[in-house]
Amino acid sequence: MDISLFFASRPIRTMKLRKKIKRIHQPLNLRTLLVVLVTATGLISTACAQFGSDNHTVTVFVQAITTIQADVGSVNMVISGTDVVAGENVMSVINETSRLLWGTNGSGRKTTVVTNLVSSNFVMKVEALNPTQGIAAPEVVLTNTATDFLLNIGRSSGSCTIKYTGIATAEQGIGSDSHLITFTIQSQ
Amino acid sequence: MRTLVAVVVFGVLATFAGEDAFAQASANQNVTLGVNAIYRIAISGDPAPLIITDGIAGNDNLVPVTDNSTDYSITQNVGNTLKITAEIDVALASGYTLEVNLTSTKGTSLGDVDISNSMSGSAVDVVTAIARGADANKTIGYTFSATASAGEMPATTRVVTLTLTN
Repeated sequence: MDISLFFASRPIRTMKLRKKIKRIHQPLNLRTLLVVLVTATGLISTACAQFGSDNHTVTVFVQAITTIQADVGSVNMVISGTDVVAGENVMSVINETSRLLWGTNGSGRKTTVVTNLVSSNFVMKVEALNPTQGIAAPEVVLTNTATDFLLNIGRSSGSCTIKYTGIATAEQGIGSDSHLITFTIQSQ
Repeated sequence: MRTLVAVVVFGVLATFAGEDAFAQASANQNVTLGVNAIYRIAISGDPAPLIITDGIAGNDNLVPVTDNSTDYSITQNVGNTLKITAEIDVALASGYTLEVNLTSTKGTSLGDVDISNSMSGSAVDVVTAIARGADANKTIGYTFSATASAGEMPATTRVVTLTLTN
């Protein structure tokens, strides 16, 4: 920047000023030049900040999150003499010791239940009791085809008691079934 | 503009891909159901007193009395050859006879069986070949008979035990 031109463009009327200008028109020493340059740089920066702008896009994303867990890994049920009434062929045992817990931020979700056992000796029924969210489906007989367990559980966390009912007839004799039961949250 | 479209398309695809990946979750639980060997038998109650009150002139055998007011029920899943035995806690004196008759659907009734002396250790079969399953409300019939020569008998109580066994 030509400092001398900058100052020459200003009107000068007093002698005092003329003297100052005369001094200014004298060759500038290094110190003065630095002060002027720093000041000018600051002015230019301030001017630029006032008229410049920029932007960028910030993307936020919440994925569909679904979790489900049974609080007890293994449930053992036994039909013994104490569960049986003499004269009745059908014998049963009920277990309500485990709970299913879930959380999902998606809408329109349901829970299904299925067993890995293709051919069971005895009947096993399952039902959701007292769900804190959603609606319990009617009690179903477990098969290896997924069946509704809970409906309308979208966008919630909740829990319910899992009610298992094992049923055998005396005519079926003695035996056992081992089920690997899978609860799945999926779109309704 | 082309870049913007590409970014939007990618975003949409990523959204749905993410939803598919996380919209489903599963939990497993092992459930075991066992059925033990079961023998159950129940009797409805006590029969009415069996009181002999009549005889036939010229005949030593007094007129027997019967009671069919009680019944039994069973449930068993063990086998097809089970049986019911009967025993009495104290034997009856000579000249007095107590018989029992159990009807059966799942097994074979042996008809009137004398249990007058079938105390513990000498229980007698009353129903055999009982198949797996249940028999409900089957009649228990008692017949009490005596001879005139045996004399009177004061009121006496006996405990009859029916056992479902192999």
